Amino acid sequence: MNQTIKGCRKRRRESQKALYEMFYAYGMSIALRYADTREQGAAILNDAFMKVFDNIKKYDPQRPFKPWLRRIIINTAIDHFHREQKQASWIDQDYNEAQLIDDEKIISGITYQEIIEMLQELPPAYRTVFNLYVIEGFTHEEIAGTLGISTGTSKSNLAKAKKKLRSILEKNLT
Amino acid sequence: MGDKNHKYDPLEELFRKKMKEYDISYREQDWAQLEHQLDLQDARIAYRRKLTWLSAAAAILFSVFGYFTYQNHLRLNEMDRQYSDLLSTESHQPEGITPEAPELPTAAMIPPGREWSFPELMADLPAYPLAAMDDHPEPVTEEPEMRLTGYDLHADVTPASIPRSTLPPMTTQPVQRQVDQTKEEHPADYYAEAETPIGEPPRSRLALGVTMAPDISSAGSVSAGQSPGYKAGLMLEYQITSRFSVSTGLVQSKVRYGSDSPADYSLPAQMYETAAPDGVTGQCLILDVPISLKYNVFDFERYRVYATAGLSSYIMLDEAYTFSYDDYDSPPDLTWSDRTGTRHWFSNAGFSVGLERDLHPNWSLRAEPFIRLPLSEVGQVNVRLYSIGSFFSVNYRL
Repeated sequence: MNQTIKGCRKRRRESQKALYEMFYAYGMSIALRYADTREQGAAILNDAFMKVFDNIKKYDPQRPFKPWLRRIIINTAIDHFHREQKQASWIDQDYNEAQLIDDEKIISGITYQEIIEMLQELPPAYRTVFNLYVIEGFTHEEIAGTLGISTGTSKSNLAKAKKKLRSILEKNLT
Repeated sequence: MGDKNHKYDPLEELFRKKMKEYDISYREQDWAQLEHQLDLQDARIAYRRKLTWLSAAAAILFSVFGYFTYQNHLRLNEMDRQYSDLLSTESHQPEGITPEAPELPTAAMIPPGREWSFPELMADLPAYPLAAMDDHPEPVTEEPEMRLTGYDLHADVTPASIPRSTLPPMTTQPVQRQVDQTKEEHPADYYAEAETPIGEPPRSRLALGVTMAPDISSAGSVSAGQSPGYKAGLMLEYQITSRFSVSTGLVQSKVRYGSDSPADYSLPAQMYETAAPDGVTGQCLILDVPISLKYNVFDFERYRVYATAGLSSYIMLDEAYTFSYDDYDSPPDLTWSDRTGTRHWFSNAGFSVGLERDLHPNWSLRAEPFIRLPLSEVGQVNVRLYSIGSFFSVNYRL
């Protein structure tokens, strides 16, 4: 790993490719949470790796690489969100208040891919807040500062995201 | 991460658990797209590196050329001074005296019947400079002139009948010529008249210039620079005297800077509730309105070495900042941007030295390394902006 990092610092193409292949799956698992499609996820991942190669000299080899990469990918995903955020008003479908099925066997059978597909059905604003709060563990205040929204909007978007996910889950499981 | 005490929610727990079970296959086409971006970036880096080397080489060439020109000028001045000293110690001729031309012998002067003797004729003639025989004055010269005595070249004398044996030997004596006082009394006017041909109009005092420069800016100190930006604009110059001129203009600047010290910046008002970041990088588009005084330190015939000092006002056209956090558990990086349009009058002081070369009486080229120092804070993050670079400009005398 150290040799690969050294090669990336000298902008050697083979080292850059080795690093990309090493962390492709991990990085794409983060990017896909924020993307509408696999292609958009790949675009987020590639932009993140461009930032990794530009700033590789700032990386401290004494610290683990994954958290540093994760942080860059999340920042890149948020940049994409800001760029592609649309002003169109959302027409909220009238979803019935669905309750999560407690059947653990059925829930445990849900695959990672299905989870990603469920997330991709969410509007970008809801999906981003859901990811930052539920998966990354940030507070609503931190999310509000990052996305340039109010704390109330962050809480509201999270509630709507969860409501919609419950509906999708209910629909898929029945 | 922030608050880890999220209330238990089975839905959240489901998503957190499933996210760790990712199984994503590698796609070579994704790498191909990234490789294309890397190739473009490498080409841009190579181009910027080449431009930097060329600029450095041009700056060194200008400096070396200017140095040797200056040394040559010093040497010529020294030779001129020594020659003047030599002349002033050797000159004994009373000033302003022009000997009168004597009456030259003619055939009518010879009494009839008397045999004409050339030596007898010449014995009575006083020594006089040959130039006194002319009706038109000689051009100014400081060299002693030799004259002939004992041999008259006047047209009325016909030496054909003079036996050579009777001719006195030819001798030479140095003659101190009258020195034209005009140059010594009014040397500046003398050269000025020589340089400005009669009939041509006086040179305009106004000049217009197109200027460009790479720009390296930083916040807090000169040393902490980011990737270079640029300056490009128009300058108008008015010549007050032969040495002094004043200039102003409009220069668009793209500045990139960063700082890791919280003392160098502050968060915009809209972000005051946010946690304090560990660093900031900024990219701003600024309209620079400079006003400066230029002094020609050395003024040669076709070259000038000058220095300038002045003040700049910044109008912030566009500001974009990224606030970063070092801790991996901290919030993600924050970005902020706006077309603020804020004005900061006389916010920076500018100093430069430059070399100007005339290509034509109306056209000239300039190379001018500069430094800008902050007098007050600018922008939404209130930074003290330092800049260095080198202007390259083409100037036209209107």
